[in-house]
Amino acid sequence: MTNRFHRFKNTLLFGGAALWGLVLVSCVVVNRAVIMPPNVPGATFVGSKECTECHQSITAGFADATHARLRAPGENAKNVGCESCHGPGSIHAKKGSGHTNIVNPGRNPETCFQCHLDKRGEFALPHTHPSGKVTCSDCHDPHKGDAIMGGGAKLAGANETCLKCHSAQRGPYVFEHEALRDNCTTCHNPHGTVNDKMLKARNQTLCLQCHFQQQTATGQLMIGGRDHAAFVQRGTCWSAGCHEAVHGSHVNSSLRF
Amino acid sequence: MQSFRPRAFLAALLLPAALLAASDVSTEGTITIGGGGALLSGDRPAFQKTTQHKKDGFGGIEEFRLSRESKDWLFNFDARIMPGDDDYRLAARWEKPEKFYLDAGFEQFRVFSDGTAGFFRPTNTSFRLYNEDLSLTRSKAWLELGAYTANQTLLRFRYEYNARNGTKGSTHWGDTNLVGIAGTRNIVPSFYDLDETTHLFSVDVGNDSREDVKWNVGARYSETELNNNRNMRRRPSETADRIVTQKDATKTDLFAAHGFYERKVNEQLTVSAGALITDLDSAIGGSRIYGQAYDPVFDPAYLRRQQRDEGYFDLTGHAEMKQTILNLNAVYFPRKNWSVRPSIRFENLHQETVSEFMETNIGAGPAFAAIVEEVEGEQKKKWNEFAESLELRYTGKPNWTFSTEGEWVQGSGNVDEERILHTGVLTIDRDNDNTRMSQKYSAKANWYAKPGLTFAAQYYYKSAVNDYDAVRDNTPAGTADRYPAYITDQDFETNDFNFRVSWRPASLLSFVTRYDFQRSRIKSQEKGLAPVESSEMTSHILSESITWSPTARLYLSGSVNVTWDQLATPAYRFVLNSDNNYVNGSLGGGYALAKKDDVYLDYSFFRASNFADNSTLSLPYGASQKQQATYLTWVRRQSDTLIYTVKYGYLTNRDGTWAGRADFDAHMIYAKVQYHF
Repeated sequence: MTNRFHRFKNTLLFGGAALWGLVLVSCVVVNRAVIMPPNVPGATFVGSKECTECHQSITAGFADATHARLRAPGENAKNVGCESCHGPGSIHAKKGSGHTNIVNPGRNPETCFQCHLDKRGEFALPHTHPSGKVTCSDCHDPHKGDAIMGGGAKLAGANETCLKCHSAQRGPYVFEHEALRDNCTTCHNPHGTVNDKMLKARNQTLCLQCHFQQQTATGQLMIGGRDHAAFVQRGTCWSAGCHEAVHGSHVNSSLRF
Repeated sequence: MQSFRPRAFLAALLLPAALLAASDVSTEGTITIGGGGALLSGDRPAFQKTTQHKKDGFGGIEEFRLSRESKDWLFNFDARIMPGDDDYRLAARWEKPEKFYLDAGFEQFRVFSDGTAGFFRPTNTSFRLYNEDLSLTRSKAWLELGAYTANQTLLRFRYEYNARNGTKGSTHWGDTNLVGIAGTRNIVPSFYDLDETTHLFSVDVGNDSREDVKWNVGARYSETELNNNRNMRRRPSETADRIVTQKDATKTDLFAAHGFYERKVNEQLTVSAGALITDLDSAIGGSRIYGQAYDPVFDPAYLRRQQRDEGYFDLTGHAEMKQTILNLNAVYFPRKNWSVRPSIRFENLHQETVSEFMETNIGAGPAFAAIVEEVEGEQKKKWNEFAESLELRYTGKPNWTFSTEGEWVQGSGNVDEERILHTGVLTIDRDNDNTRMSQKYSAKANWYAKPGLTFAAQYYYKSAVNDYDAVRDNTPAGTADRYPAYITDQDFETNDFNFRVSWRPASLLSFVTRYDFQRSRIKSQEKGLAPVESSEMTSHILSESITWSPTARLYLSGSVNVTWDQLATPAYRFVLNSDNNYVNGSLGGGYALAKKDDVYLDYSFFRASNFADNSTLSLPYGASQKQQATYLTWVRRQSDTLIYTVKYGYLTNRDGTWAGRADFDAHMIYAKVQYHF
C-alpha cells in the first residue's frame, strides 16, 4: 500500500512538473486564442436580419414563439436574436451554408443550458433521457409557438409529446389511472431525477401524494378504505406486486397488473 | 432492422459520390473516424448506463457529412456507423429548392440499462439472477417526398418506421422471504423484454409562403404492434421459486386528420383555426402466467403453485377512441408595442374498451386448487373540455419585455366501468361523473439593464379542482378497493417562480445565476371523510455558471446546481418523506498549448445523499450516490482541415443505495481524427 502511494506521488510530481514545463514553453511560443466549445472560431455577430435571407421559413414564424418574448427594443437588447443560440454567424453567412461554422443546439443542448441552468443540472443526473440521443428540440420547438408543445388551449394534448415515443403507455385501458388524465409529469420529470425511471419520488409518497386518506385510527395507514400499514413493508406501491399496472389495466380495477 | 449490414451501409455511403457529378457543383464535408473503450473495475451495467457506451469498446465512422450544392440542387448526406454502441445513422436529402425534395434515412441507437433491483440492508440481502447488462435498441427509418406547385403549395408524403427492441430493467420487483426475521420483502429483480414497432404514413398539403394566408391539411395513419413481456421471479432460492411472465400483445391503428388555416386580416389582426380528428382502434391481447421458465403456458397443476398466485390468460378485446379537437387563435396588435393573443380550444372524446380473459387464482393449501374464471371488463368514457387562454405582451419600454398569460380549462365527463363474471355477477359496476377545472396565471419580465447585464423573472400560479361523483357504485362503502369511487374531490395548487441574472462584467468574464422555486400542494377528500392535505412538494434549485478567459489562450468555466427537493405526505411516519436533494456541477478549462495544440480539462461531479434505512417499517429509501468524472483532452489542429483528438477519462461511481453493488472505477480512452473537405 505504501509503495503504491509513493508510486502515485512520484507520478503526480513528475507529471505535474512536465505539464508546468510545457505550459511555460508554450507561453513563449504561442500567440492564438483557445477554442471554447460550443463556439465558432473566428466568427463575429452579424444580426438576425442576415439569417432571414436563407432561413425565412424558420424566421417567419418566430414572432409567435415563446423565445420571441426575449426580444426587446433598446440598445442594450440589440444583440438578442438568432445568434443568441446559434453563435456568431459571420462565417456561415459569408459562405452561404455549412454545418461546421454555426452552432446547432439541436445536436448540443449546451446552448439551451446557458439560460436554463436548472435543466443542465437535471440532464446531468443518473436517470435521464439518453444524452446526445434525446435533446431539447425533440420535445420543444424554439422557433414556433409555445415551447411546451401540448396542453392548455393548444391543439395537441399535454401527453402527446411523451406518447410519440412511448406508445406502450397510450392505452386506452379498461381501468385507467386518473393521473394520466392530468399529465405524465405528475409522476415523471422528463429532464431527469435522482430516481430510476425519472420518477419524482422513489418511495410510496409518489402515490400517496394523491392517494393518502384521512386517518381514522392511530397505527393505521388507510388508503382506499384498506389499512396499508403492513403492505408498505414489502416495498413501494408498484414494486411490491400490488399495483403494477401504473399506466392502466385491462383486467383489474385496483391496477394490480 | 436490428442487425448491422455493412455492405448495405457501404453501398449507401458510396451512393452520393455517383450523384451530382456536374462541374458546377461545390462540395463540402466532414469525416470523423473515432473509437474508444474502457478498463473497468466494478459494475458493468452501471458503467454502461452512466456513460451510454459499451464497455468492450466502440469505434467506426463517428460522423460523415457531405453537402453538394449546385445552382439548382442541394444534396446532403449524413452517416454514422459505430458498432459496439450499436449507433448507426444513414440519411440523405436531395432538394431542388421550391420544386421538390426527397428525404430518406435510417438511424438506430442503443440505450443501456442496469437490471439491478432492491437491497435489504439489515440482512445484507440482494439477488443477481441474470445478466443485468440490459439494453434497448431504438430504430427509425423514414422516406419523405415533397413537391411544390407553381404557387409554392407543398404536397408532402412521409413514411416512418419506428422500433424499440431489447431488454430494460423494471421496478416491479419479486418477493423473497430470505430477509431473516423481516418477513416478506420485494427486492428481487425483474426485467422487460420489449418488441415494439410502428409504421406511420402521413400526407400533408399546405402553403406557408404567403404572408396573408397560410394553410395546411393532412392525414396520418399509424399501425403499432406491441409484443412486450415483463419477466418477474418470486421467491428465488426457496421451494416456492417460480417465474411470472406478463405479456402485452396490443395492436393499435390510429387515424388522424388535421387542418390549419391562418389569415392576416390586416396589419393589426391575424386569426387562425385548427382542427384535429383522431380515431384509434386497438386489439388487446396478453397474459400473466406462473411457470418454471419465461413465457409458459398456463398449467393449473403447476408444481410450485402457491396460494394467491393470481394471473390471467387468453386476454382479448378491443379499444376504440374517437377524439375531435377544434381551436381558434388570434394575434391582435391594438396599439403600438402591445399584442394580445387569445385562444380557445374544444375537445370531445368518446372511448370504449372491452376485455375478456380467463382469470386465474390458486386456493389455499394443501390442495392449492386452481380457480379459473371467465371475466369481462368494460369501460365507456365521455369527455368534453373547453380551454381558453389569453396572452398579453408589451414591448414599449426600451430594454424591457413584459408578458402575462391566463389559461382556463373546464372539463366534464363520465366513466362507466364494469367487471362481469361469466355467471353474470357484476363484481364492479360504477358510473362516475367527473369534472376538472383548472386555471393558470403567469407573468414574465426581462430587463436588459445595460449591455451584458440581463435580469429575467417568471412566476406562475396554477390550480386544478377534480370532482368525482359516483352516480352508481356497487362496492359497499367502508370496504376496500373502491377506487376511483372513493375519491370525491382532489385539488392541486402550484406556485412556481424563477429568477435569472446574466452578467458579463468584462468581455471575457460572464456569470449566470438562476434560482427556481416550486411548491405544490394536493388536497384530497374521500367519501364520508374530511378533506386532508395529502402532499406538499417543495423544490429550491440554485444554479450558477461562470466563464472566464483571463487570456485569449485560456478559458475556465464552472457550473453548479444545488437542489433541495422534498415530497412530504402525512404518511411520513410509515414511509418517510421523499427527499430528492442533490448537488452536481462541473469545472472545465481549455488552454492553447502550442500553435496547433489545445488541451482541455473537464471535471464533473454528482452527489445525492438521501439514504434513510427505514427497513423496520418499509424498504430503505432514498438515492445516495456519488459520481465523479475527469477528462483530459488533447486536440491538435494539424491544418484547417485535419484535427486529431485524444481523450482520457477517469470515472467513479459510489452507489450507497445498493450498498456498493453498482460501484465502479473506469479508465476511458477515446480518439478521433476529423477531416474537413
